[in-house]
Amino acid sequence: MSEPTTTPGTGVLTEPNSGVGAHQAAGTGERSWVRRTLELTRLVKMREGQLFLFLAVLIGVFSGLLVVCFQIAINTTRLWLLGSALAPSPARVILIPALVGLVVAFLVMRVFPQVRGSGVNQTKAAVYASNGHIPFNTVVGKFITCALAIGSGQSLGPEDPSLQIGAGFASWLGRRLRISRDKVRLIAPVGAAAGLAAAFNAPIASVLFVIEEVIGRWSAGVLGAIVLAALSSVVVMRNFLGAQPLFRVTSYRLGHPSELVAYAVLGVTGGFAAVVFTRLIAAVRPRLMRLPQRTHYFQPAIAGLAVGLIGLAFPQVMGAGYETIDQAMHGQYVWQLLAVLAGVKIIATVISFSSGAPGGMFAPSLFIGAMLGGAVGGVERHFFPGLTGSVGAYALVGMGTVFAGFLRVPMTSVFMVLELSGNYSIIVPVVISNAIAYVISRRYQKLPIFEMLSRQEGMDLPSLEAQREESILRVESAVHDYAAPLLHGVQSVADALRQLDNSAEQHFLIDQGTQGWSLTTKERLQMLEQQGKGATLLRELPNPQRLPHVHPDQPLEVALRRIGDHPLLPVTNRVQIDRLEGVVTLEGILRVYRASLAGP
Amino acid sequence: MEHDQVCPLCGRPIPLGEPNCPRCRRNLFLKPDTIIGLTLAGLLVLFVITGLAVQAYEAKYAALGDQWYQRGTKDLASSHVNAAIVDFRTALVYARDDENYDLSLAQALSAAGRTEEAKAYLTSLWERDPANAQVNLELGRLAARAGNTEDALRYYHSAMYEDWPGRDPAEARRAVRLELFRFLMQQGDRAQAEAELIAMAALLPPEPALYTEVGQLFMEVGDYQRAAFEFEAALKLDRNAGEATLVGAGEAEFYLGNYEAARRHLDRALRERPGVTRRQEVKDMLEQATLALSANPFDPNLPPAERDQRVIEAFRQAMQRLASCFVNDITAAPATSSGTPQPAAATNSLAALANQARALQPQVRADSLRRNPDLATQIMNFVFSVEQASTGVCGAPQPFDRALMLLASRRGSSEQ
Repeated sequence: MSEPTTTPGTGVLTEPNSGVGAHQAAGTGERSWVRRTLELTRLVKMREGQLFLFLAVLIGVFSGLLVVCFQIAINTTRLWLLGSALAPSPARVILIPALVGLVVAFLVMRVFPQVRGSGVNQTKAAVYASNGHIPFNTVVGKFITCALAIGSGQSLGPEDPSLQIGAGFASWLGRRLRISRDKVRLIAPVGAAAGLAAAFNAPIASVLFVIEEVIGRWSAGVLGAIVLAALSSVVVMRNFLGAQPLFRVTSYRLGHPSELVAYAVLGVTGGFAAVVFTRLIAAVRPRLMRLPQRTHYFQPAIAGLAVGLIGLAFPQVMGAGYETIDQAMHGQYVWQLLAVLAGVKIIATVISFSSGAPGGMFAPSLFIGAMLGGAVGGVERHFFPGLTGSVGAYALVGMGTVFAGFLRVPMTSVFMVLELSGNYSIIVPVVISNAIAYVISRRYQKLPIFEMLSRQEGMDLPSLEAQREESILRVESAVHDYAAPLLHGVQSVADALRQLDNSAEQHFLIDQGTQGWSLTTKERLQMLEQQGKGATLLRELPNPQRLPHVHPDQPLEVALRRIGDHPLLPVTNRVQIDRLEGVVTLEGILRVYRASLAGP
Repeated sequence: MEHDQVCPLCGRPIPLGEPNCPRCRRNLFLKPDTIIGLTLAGLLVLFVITGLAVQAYEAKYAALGDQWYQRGTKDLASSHVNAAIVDFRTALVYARDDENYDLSLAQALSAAGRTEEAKAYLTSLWERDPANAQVNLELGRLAARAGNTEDALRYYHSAMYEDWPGRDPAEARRAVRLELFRFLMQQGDRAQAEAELIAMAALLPPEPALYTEVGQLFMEVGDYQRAAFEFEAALKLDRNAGEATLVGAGEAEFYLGNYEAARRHLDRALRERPGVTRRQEVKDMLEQATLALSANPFDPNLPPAERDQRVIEAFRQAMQRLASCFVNDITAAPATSSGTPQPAAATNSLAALANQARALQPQVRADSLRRNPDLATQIMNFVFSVEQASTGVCGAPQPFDRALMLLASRRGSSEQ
């Protein structure tokens, strides 16, 4: 079998002895519809960029289907294992999570070792450390083990696993289609966005999450594909499961601007709840991970037993808890119970997640936020009956608040609430509350949750927050005055030499007007004069050493890249490009970098 | 390398130009066309599988939802409200968007007195479908329970004007308006309640029972004119209308002072419906009406002698009534029926009437009445004043006193 090759420079994948010409040779004239259909499949003739976009749609559709099946699997498993009642019988509540925990632990330890955890960091690790390679059995494993764990009542959610399922499928497809290594690296986040979007029914929030947390940077090259995949998956999911949002959201209206204070209080509460949640995971998970390997076979079972015991009193905390969130949003619980449920859910989730049971933390953080929001709303309305916001509105804002504080994805959380509520008038309280929670979380919990988890697993993965934290060094910090005489292209060689007569500098900038900048030396000018070219204008000199220029506001790394072997670079004004602000030298650039390493 | 590929098995990069993974050493690749074809085929298969899975899943969920809903309905019917709430909530887990389940849950919550929770569900339903009459009705009921007249009116009216699928809309709207009427009466807002009744009356189908019902409601708000009209309409539609119609018509005419019509209806009711409820009350009213008719000197068809006789009888009765107020001495201070002294105003009024009686008494004769046609009116005005002033002050009135009182009130209202 002859192997296809990539046409250098174009990225077009071609195949020997194939293509339209070959088909024409083989054909007898009129093409049959079969042949035309086959022609449609010859997508590999596309440029890789086009193919990538096509694959994004394909991945979106596949991810949507997989996530639909995944959700059905979770719900069906729950029905089989725990029955259809809201509060299952005590025997089931205690025994089922524990027994299923044993099965899940065996599968995770023996069959699917890469399905441990939520799936976000694993996807991120694949992107950064494994060329985007996620083994296909991870997809299968995640599907099975999460359906069992969540369906049996472990306090975990299906969103992060959906993300990994989407990423895993995308990675597999990309590898099979032999797209380039760079694209394989990028295709996993495309699948991740598709998986998450289908699970959340919130395409914008999912795109933002993948950019904020998985890719860790804004990349125009992949943004289009991610959006396409997310939209495709949501369309497919809605086609099968309906277009209704994840939760039925009550109406919201802001009676008076002073009510925003109430949401600020919610922001503070949510921020501290997020810190407590994160710190508990930080404290418990490493301890359980350090226990002997054989105990890992029993940890999910013991966690299941613990969650089951909690579930006897509070069956609401078992599983993802969407129904309970829905009920809280409709004012079905008194604020005291809501507060207790928030606390108990934190404990149950810490136990489940730290035990190594596969499953996500999106749903639990939404649950905690909704309960906390409802509780805060209930208390505030009790003491200030004039507040117009319903408990449901507080629960909704609370979801975003804890989400922002816990996962440290402020933009995602805002858009998530907007997409879930479909009500843009709620944006002001959401932004206020989320911002406060985010600031509190950053103040009292240095490491974001995903970074902390990756450190616990011995990885160091980048994040957008870490990038935001990094101070950017700019050209202006390395610029210094240009002390030597500035030459102009309209000057003659002799004239220039006269101007440089008393200068001790080695290199001199020539302002070439619209031609930019160039550099010369006194020796070169003297040599030209000796050659009898004293009357030649500087702009007409042969082989001028053209110089790139930089602007003061540009990152210093731009200057570092451009300076190359040049002794200096002109720094010019942005709005008056021929106005020299100063120059940067390699030595000056390095000095600034060294100073930044030494700290303030 | 710009176009390195990645090994599908181990994930390691494969240098450009290398056909196989340097580690796995296997020719791993199918033709890209084949992969695409297989992927599309796989997509088709997955579509079918997902479709079938969703179908089975939805059927299962719908069945579970229905099962819990039926259970909830039974619990609600047997007044196990809390159990019904749990059942309906469970039903909603399996059929989240079934508005009937939502509505039933809200009704159960409302029945359990958990108004805020019920309101949250109903508000959510209302936002989804503001034209849902049943939801509007439930919200109206909650507002009524909270005593919020403005919201109650808004929701009840919305319920009236929207569609009622599965029910006779006219009947449903009438029931809603009746409920609103009851609420408004409870709130003491008679004017708005009457407005609702007038609207209801305007849309009645030709059914005597409905006219009778509306007539009775008009009686409740004290609009006897409209009540009489409704009862008459019912009687026109069905000459053999029931007891309620006849008694209602009699009562309405009685209160309007149309004693002849009242007597006719009440007499018919007693004759044709021997088992009439409130028999004694109806009988009393008939007696009153008959007495008022026989005591009325203003009947234009009366011969003058008969008129004069009635005036004289009325005056005599008034004097007796006045005398009963002063026990033994008409000039002494009058006492109440309980024996306690009268307030000064009543005493003065009765004393003035006693003085007026002494002045009028010599003229109360048939010949004086014949000579002076205005004297009858003057005497009757005095009689009415005595009957009114003695009401509640001078002991229980005689039937004839009550008849004179009726004439007095009728005269008062006609003058007004």
